[in-house]
Amino acid sequence: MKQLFKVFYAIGILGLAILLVGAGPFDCDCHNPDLTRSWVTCIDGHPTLTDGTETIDYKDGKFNPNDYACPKNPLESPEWVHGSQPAPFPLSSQTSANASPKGRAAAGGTVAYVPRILLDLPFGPSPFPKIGLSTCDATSPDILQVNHVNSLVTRLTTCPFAVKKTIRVASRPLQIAITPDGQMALVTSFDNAINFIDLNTNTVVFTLSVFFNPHGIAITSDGKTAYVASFDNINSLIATIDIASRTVTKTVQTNAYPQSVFLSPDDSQLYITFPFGNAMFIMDTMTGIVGNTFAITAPRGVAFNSRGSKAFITSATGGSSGSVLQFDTETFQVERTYSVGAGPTDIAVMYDEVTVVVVNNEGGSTSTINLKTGQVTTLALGAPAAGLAILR
Amino acid sequence: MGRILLYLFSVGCVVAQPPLIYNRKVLNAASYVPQSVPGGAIARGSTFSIFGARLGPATPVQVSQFPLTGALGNVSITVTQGTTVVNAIPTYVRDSQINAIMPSNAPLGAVSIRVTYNNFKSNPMTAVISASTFGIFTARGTGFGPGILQNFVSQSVQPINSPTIAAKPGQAMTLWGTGLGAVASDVVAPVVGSLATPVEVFVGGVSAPILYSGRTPCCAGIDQIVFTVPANAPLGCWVPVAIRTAGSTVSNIVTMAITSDGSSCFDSFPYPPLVKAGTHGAFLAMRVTTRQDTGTKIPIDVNGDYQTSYAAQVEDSPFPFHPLLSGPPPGTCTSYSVKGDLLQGNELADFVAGTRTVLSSSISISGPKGLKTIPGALAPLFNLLGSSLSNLLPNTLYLDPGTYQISGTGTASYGAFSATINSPAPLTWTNRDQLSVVDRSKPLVIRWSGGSPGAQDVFVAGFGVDLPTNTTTVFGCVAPDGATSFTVPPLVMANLPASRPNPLQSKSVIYVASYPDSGFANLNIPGVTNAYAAFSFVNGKTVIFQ
Repeated sequence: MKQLFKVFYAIGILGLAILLVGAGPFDCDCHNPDLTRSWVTCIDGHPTLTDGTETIDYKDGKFNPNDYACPKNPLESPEWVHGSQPAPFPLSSQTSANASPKGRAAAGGTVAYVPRILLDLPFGPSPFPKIGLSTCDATSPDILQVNHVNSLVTRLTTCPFAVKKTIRVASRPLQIAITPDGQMALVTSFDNAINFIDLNTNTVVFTLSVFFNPHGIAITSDGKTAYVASFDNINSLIATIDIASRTVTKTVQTNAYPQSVFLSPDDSQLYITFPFGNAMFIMDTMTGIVGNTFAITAPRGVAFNSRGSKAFITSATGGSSGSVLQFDTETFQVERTYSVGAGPTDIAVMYDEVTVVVVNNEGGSTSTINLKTGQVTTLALGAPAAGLAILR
Repeated sequence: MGRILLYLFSVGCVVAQPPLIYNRKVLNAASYVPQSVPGGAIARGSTFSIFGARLGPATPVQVSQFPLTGALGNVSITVTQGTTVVNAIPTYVRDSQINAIMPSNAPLGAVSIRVTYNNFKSNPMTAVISASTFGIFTARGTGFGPGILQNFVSQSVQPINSPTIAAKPGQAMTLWGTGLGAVASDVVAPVVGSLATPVEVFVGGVSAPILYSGRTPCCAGIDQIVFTVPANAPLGCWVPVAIRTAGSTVSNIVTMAITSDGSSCFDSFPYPPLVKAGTHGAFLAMRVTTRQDTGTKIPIDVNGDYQTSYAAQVEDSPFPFHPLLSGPPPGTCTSYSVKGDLLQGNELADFVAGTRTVLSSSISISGPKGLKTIPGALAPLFNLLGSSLSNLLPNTLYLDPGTYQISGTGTASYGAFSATINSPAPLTWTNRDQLSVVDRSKPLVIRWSGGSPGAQDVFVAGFGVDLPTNTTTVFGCVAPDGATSFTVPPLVMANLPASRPNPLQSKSVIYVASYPDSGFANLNIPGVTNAYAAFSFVNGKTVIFQ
């Protein structure tokens, strides 16, 4: 037998090789449980887990909508709802002991949640066997939502769905970002302020006064730096903020009305959207040089896959449909375009890395893109939609 | 305003297309090791490559005489750190690639690199400059596989080492690479002489005596290391060769062939399938168990039974190599650092040897848990035969130890086949659960027991996937026959990326795989040069690489 060693070894390691290089087992829908209930949006004034048929059961009074200013008109608080950062720092892990749920799980709550234990796994068998979803898991993350008109940030628990705290911030808040450790949230207020919220106490601990109408915000993965876009045609800039010292350390001039900013997963590049200017810029974060500019019709949101090899950009092309551009971040080329509902805004890549979810503001719908098949499924929600947070 | 901008962009697309450096595509010109791993820095005085679009003229331009200058073919390159700006020295330019020398006075640490071509500036791209980081040139141009090493026979006879032109212990070798460090001048013909940078050469993990380590006389930015093959170097067709500089930074790992007398290594060792030219067939069944306890609240065992079969047609090559079939000799290890996530769909260069085709339109497996008939399609390449997930999923595992009859109906090109495989109980990885944090600078000891002692082959592999930078480093080791433990040397773990604080941004895992002799069968398939069936067990555990 040993004379066959090398051959045996060869074929043996082939098996290992193929397995490990992922030609099969890990090239997968690794987390394939029902993904469709895994995001949140505001529909007709209510926070909603959306699967096309089911909403949070606020109507029975268990969840009191009066506690929560989820805007009826999403234009009052467009796309700027942010969930917590991904594990390992779900917000609820630090606050769940004090949580005082006012409501109950979603209707049919035994099937509304993907088991937390699955979401934490780096690897799963593939294809993922069908699995019954678990009951509501109290470790699900919280969500922070900005209410532009009422100058509030609302902290919601998602399991069960309930208001945990409303936090008053400087007027006309727009976007929010959370430090990776879950300790601090930064909220931009159009009226020249950046609010620092301590998420342990759910209070504003500092308000940074600025001069440039802050709008979009992104925080680096080390939690040290925030980038803020100024939605302004005069002071059009990207500001760098040192979170520890709560100061603006650098500004870079850009074109007029930069709206939102999105960091590549390695923090090396900042994608800046100019929906009025029909452009997207990419800024090198080390130098502050805008080195790449792209003509894209009304870009609004950008989401990356976990490896940062693809970016998905919502483009409100007008009319009855919008687009999502699949962007190769190595060559900086659009390699595919998906047609989605009208006015796509928020976008996220689900944890399976196969599904992309889009909230279509003007279309009042959500679209789900299967990146393997290219199939796009659009569900009408019956009302304009805004906001997207992955319950990871 | 929007319309004006759009118009300007449209015009810009036609008239003013600036050079474009692809993301993270500033690399050591020999190793192509990704920037984000320790071996991916660009050394002072080394040759590096920039990949992109519109970087230079359509027709390549190459330097032809000294002194070199900071511009070539209207291409120049700036290296910036804060207020410090130096110019790299281009040696080869064309539209999609630039080769250049990093100046010996370049600032250490993170820098920004920009290309200017015909007065248009590219996007900036980050790189890290080091005092020394060595890359070894490779025959296949992938950064791994047979290295560019010359067997010294005489001053006039120095053939390039290959499996058919092997070296022998005691023979002097000349290794070609770049990255030994700074010199007095990068723009004139190099001065012969070993550089001060501490250099170590490892052949199959064995330290080799070094005769010279410095610039090659011919070429600026290119280094030679002359060493002697150690008397106790392992023999084989693909013996790993690595260079460590300054005691810490490890190069890409390439291979060289060594036989006791310098004859063709294929006279001593069988030519593996999927490396040798011909049509090869494979049937594989495996059980993969991965304990996942980093970033999870409780340990979770993810188990899957998989099966695949396919045929592959491989062309002949003077430097035959398959990144995994051309494995290191028993008792040694190799490693690769590449772009992508090798645990989720990305493949190593040359992994798909030749053209992969369907081996059989239908496959049947009959074993202790009954008969399964599955399609032999290539997509998905692996069929999930069963699974379990701790207590969260019903246990549907299929490949329990026992005897299996396998058969294939064949295709229009290949005949039918059948074979019997006996699958004994797998080995037990005895120190698996004690393994949590792996210090990459210290030896990693893996122990096992059971299985089929003396009648199994055992492999140890480790993966470090850094998702934010889209980078994977993998090491693979072959345990000696009959071993019940293996010590993974720090050398092959040096380029593993450190696990990130957020475990979902890293995939750090160690695997121990066993292949029982009784789980192996030679398949005689009409139309196929050679074909084999194998049964294996893969036992994994997530870890934290520090």
